[in-house]
Amino acid sequence: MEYYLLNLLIFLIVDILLYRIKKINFFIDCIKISLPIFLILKYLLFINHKLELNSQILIFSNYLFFLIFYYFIFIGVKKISPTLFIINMIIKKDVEFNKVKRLFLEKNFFFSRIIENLNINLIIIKKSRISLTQKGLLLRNIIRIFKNILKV
Amino acid sequence: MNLIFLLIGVLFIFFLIHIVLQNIFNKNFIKNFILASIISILTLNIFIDSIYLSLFDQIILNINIIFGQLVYLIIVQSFRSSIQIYILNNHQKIDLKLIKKEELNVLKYRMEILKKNKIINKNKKKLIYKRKILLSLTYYIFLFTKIIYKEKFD
Repeated sequence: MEYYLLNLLIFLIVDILLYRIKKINFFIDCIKISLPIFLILKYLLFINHKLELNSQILIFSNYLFFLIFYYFIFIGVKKISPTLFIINMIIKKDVEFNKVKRLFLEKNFFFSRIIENLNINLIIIKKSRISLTQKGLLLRNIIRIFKNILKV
Repeated sequence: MNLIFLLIGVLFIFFLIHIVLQNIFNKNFIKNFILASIISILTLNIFIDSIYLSLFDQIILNINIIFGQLVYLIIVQSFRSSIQIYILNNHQKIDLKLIKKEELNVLKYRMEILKKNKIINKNKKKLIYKRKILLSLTYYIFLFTKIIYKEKFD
């Protein structure tokens, strides 16, 4: 357990340093390097400590869950959430609504999300209208099913 | 391999409990999530007591369940508030010539949610932040992470 946690901690430190210097994630952007290193280290750990297959699978699935969790959290670190942007402005001192509105509109949250959807091939823009690609349509349908089931 | 089935099974039970709770109390998303999470983790640990499992496996199994549930929370929460998903769901209504109107709608929607949840107050022209533990905690976690990774809020 402690070796695994130490491994994660070292990866996290590398990730922070790499991102601060080169704006690259060790966990996600360098997954072709970080994942094989992780697997080699775990293989050595499993051999030395003779861990059962169950424990090995659990450690590996834990790392995968951690990667997915880290990926989602990091979206919030790289991008700015509109709600947290508002909170950031008013948390230290009370601010006039007009100032919040002006700075909020300068950030172009909506437009930047349209560009992101365009870049990941979820939408296409024709004249001034938005259409969904096959990928976008599939994702929207999946989301609708879950929204209906969960009533959100 | 059995532990993986146990992991998937508990996550599935959690998902079912959350669906049932959402269909009964559909305005308490976070409370339903917490309740479903507690029930599923308790069920897991009661079950673990009846089988032999090393302490290491018990801990890592519980951590896996918590990670899985947090990932689920982030994904489902994004169904409700992500602008990117809003664009997918309402693409026919959006006219890019009126993009400023959409930007304003995002602001209005966020402000309404914050006011409805009594997180902010509008006093004359000023906005006043009413401290709420959950949102303040989320804010400070992201602030801390942004500082570590040399990113900014503005």
